[in-house]
Amino acid sequence: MSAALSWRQRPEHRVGISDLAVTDDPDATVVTHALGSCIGVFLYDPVAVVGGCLHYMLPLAKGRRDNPAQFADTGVPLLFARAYALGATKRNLIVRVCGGAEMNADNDLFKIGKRNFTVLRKMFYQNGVVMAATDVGGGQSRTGRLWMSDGRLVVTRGGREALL
Amino acid sequence: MHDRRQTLSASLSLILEDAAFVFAELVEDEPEPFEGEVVEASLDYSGDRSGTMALRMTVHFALQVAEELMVSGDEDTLPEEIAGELLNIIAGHWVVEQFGERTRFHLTPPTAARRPGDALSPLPEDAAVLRTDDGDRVDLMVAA
Amino acid sequence: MSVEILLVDDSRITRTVQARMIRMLDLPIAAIHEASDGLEALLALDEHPGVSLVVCDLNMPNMDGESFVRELQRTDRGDLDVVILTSDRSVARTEALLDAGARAYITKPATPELLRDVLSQLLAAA
Repeated sequence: MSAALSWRQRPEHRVGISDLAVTDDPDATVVTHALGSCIGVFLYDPVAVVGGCLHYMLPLAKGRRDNPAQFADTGVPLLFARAYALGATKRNLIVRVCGGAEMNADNDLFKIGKRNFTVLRKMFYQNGVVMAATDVGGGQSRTGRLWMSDGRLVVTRGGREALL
Repeated sequence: MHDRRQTLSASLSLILEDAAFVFAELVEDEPEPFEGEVVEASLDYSGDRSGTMALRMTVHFALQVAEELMVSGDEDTLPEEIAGELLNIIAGHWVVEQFGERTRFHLTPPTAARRPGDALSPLPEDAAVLRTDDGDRVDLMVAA
Repeated sequence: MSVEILLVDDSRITRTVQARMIRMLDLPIAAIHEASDGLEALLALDEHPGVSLVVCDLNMPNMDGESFVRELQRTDRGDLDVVILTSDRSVARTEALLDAGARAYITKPATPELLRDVLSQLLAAA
């Protein structure tokens, strides 16, 4: 597929809230919207050309099993497992994270955005994962789009796009 | 006194989260007593401002923090090491938050000791008592 | 080219956590040595002359971090890259240590990502 094609002309894997997707289609993009206090974890293995995204809402499942993608502690291992199943390796995986905003600071008594990121940091520390880049915090919602063709991750916030 | 309790609470909860991945909130009501043996760490700050800061947590909680940080060691000394280093980081944060980033100060190395939970000296009125999501109590206080 | 690092902190906990974080990084680390204060660090540098990068606390017994950095400047090890990693986030101390010869000043708690950013910059410049 021509590198000149826009994302609209490519197969798109859309990741909803409390959802995840992993692909080995080099022509696809993987996108998630409405990353407010939620966290988007993006993986990309440039050697195996495998990539994906988890969009989770809450830090801990606490025994809940109906939707593992809703929580960091169940969703993140699942995301990595799916990526490994398609041929990705831990050594080659580029891990980038965005989201975790404090969307309604006065009412955000539980500081969910930051807690979501803290639980992720703990899991990564304990499992030897170092994030290549992050765009977290603040007060605005984000969209993240991963291009499987070259691994670029475009994060949109407040109408502005930036490469992460 | 309200301000100091709030700033102590803010520094304690921030450092517990950032350094130990623990979530804790300020307890507004009369706190439940500590359950079990408590480790208390203290240090002095001096320079433009001076005082003594102390941190209390249960031995059990300190060992849990060590486990989360994947730090092993002798159970006879590990809680003291954990409490001492957390206090060191908290003090460095709080002094600047309280007195400004231009404050010049020195921190003594922390000392720590264990005490039974029912044999602790009374808390100052402006101490911050926090409760973690798992129900552990952590106290931070300053005498200046 | 692989690098030898010396971690200097009176807290064994901190040295253990820092060493773990540094080993997580994709950096060519030949060895990580440890010392619990500035005096021990000077001895460790004699024992391990291959050390090229030091991560050092400030508030330590026997010899604090600032004294250690100043002492390095007086010896033939002034070329060492010293990163200060401390709980002291005051501007005064930051300026003093950078003036004294430290190459970077970061505040606790460190993260693997911050250590990677600082260490890889220093290693690239070496």
